[in-house]
Amino acid sequence: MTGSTVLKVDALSKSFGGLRAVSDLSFEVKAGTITSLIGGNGAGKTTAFNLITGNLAPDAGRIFFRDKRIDSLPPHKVARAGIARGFQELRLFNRLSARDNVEAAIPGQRGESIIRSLLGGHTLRVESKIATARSRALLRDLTIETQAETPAERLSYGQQKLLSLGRLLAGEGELLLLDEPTSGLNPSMVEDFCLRMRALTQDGKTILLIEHNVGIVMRLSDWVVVMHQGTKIAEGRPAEIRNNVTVMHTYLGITS
Amino acid sequence: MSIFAQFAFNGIVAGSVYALIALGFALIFTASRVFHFAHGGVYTLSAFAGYTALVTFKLGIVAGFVAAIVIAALIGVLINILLYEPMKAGGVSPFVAMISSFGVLIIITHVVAMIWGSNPVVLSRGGQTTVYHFGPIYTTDAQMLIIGLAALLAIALYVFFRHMRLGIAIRALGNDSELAEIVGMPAKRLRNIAFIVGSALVGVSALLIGLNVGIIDFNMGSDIVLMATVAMIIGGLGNVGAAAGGGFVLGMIQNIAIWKIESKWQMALSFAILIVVLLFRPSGLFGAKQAASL
Amino acid sequence: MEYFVYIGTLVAIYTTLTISLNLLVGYTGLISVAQAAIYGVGAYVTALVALHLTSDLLASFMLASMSGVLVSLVVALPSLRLKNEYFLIATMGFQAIIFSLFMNLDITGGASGLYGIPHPVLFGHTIRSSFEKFLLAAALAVVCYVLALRITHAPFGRLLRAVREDQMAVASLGKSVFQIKFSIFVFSAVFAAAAGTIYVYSLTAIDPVAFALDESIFIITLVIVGGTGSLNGSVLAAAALIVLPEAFKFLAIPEAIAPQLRQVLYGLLLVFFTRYRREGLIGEYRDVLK
Repeated sequence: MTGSTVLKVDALSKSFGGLRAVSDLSFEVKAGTITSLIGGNGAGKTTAFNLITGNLAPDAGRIFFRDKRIDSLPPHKVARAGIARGFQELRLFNRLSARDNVEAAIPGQRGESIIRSLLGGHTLRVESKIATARSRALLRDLTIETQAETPAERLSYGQQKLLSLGRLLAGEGELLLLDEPTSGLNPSMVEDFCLRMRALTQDGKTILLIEHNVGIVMRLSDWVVVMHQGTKIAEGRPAEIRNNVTVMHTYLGITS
Repeated sequence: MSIFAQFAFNGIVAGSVYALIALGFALIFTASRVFHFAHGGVYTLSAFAGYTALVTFKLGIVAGFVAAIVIAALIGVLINILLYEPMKAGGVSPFVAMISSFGVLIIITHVVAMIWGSNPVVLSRGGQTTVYHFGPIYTTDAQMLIIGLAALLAIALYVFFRHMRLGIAIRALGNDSELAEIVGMPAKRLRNIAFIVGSALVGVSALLIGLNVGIIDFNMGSDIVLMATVAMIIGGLGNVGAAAGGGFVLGMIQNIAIWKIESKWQMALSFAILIVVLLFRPSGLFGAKQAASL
Repeated sequence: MEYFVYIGTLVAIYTTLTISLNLLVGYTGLISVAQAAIYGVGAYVTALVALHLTSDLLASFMLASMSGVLVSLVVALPSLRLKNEYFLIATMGFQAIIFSLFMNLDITGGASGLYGIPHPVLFGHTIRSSFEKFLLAAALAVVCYVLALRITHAPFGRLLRAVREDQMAVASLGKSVFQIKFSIFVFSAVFAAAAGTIYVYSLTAIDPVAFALDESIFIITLVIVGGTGSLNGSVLAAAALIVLPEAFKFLAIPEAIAPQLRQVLYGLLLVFFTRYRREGLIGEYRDVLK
């Protein structure tokens, strides 16, 4: 249902030693929207992601996914609740094939329990066929089906980025967290990416992304949250942010 | 009460022994981030080299120490050049280097057994051992030398790492190879120096400890390198002083524990402490904050 | 003939040990040097039960397996959350502690170990001959191989390899890394302990020295030489490294240095394969058909 809050971050704080990486951060992400989290290096964006996904424990504050409080959950439980997270460094399973990378993300596979895998049997074979078909379909949709059996480390950077997106989508998460998804991509790939993002929201997904490319932020986002030195300094629609003088000064630093 | 004092003193001696070995081990770890288990092999080999000079060829105590130090430094740096450096260059994880280090330890240990036999060998420098006593405590000149040497080296290395360019560079190596090159020396050369110094240290210790105990055998290094690992972890990775401190604590615990538990449980106790430290205080008793857990 | 049966039994036992460790080390990337201790626990439990209660084979296997699970709980539960190098050192600690128990407790016979262990009994039939015991060892090895193959071909096997590649990424997919690691550790321990049962019944005696750290390193050597992630490689390596040193006997090498030379050979192989051919004899994951 559009308009409802999918993710709510409330007064989140995290320090490392004496350094305040995130400080009293609060914002909301509405269903079916693309929200961009922007800010200079060291603004705390990736730390915020790590706090949301449970890779870091907050010093203070709360995080809600739908109505469920998730700030004390470990990463795999956060993922299971419905948050799919992409990494800036991709973190693909390098020596596994592209198809294996995607299949590993498919939830609810009974063959992933050691007991079931030892027992073997017909159900497992059927499940495996279904999983393979699904992963191939996903790869096809991402135009990398021909590379299905290639180890992830041997794909081109652009293909790896697509694969990381594929792995993210296979998890069927409702909220997608993407960290610098367009870095290193050429203009046509960036274009492709933007189209995919729009299509995903039409399918009911919600997207929160960390993005440095100002053009994409302006073009793609329904909402922009600006961070600086660990806290939110502004938020609003892209046009509002573009006109916001504080933001121009501290982050965008452009006069155009 | 006087028995306790003797145990405590024995603890200081044992602690100094472990500190001496841990110092070299930690120096190497700081520079290369590898758990150089083959260090135990270097230890054994240098003790036997000293034995050969001292007893087989009767060349005198100085020759004994020179032989031990030279062989130790040589073998130590060779292991780095032939094994760890190529692995590092090939992007191999320090993990795999650890395993290969075990392999080298096994090779050296059993080659020593092949050459000198698997029975313990008596190592004496001829002449009498002078025994001193201070109140209720008995000690020998070799023991006092061990304690003195440990203290001296701990201080020397502390100064080296804090205040001398070479030392600071080596410390930086562990964290960032490029940073270290600011000193003007390539990272590889710095690591080799660490191996030379760390191994020479263990050469001195091996002969000294061998003379103190009176016998040496081909397993001596394997046993002691495990203790050095425990010492380094108890004390804290990341700095050499912490490792020495850990060695000292370990020696004390082992010898004071004898008071209450049988000596055959010493090893189990030591490793139990290792596990407790790893789980609850991975940065060690004296060390810098380092995460051992995921 | 006796001699070949004896060698065959050893090869079968080490095949089981190597395959079970390979799943842990080769597939999942969890390097443990406690395998010999777990092998020993299975052996001692079997021996003590056989000496004081029953030498029924099924009971022995069950009790040995349960002891394997128990040891997993003690060793793996606390250690699995440590980073790789520290996990290895923790397992080293447990190996030393357990070995110390073998050497120092009265009921385990201390340094002399145990002897005079009765023959195993299966459904009323006493298994006495060395050939029958070899069949037992071979049966265990086959079961281990088949189950390992099932694991590697199943989605669980893929998760093991994924954990080896990037644990954080696995967690981000909603899968519990701890559960994955713990499951495979238990599997590995159960088979190591079962191998201990076979060991005891084959030799009818226990020498604690067989379960020291050296032995753990030897099993790791077998895994690496055969190829991490290659089950066939594990079989090949176990066969090669047990049989080859036996050839020394035909080369007129003096009795005194033969055991030392054997160890030097193992050390050389370990160094050689970790330095030059980490994929081992057969190569990584070669038999994982996809």
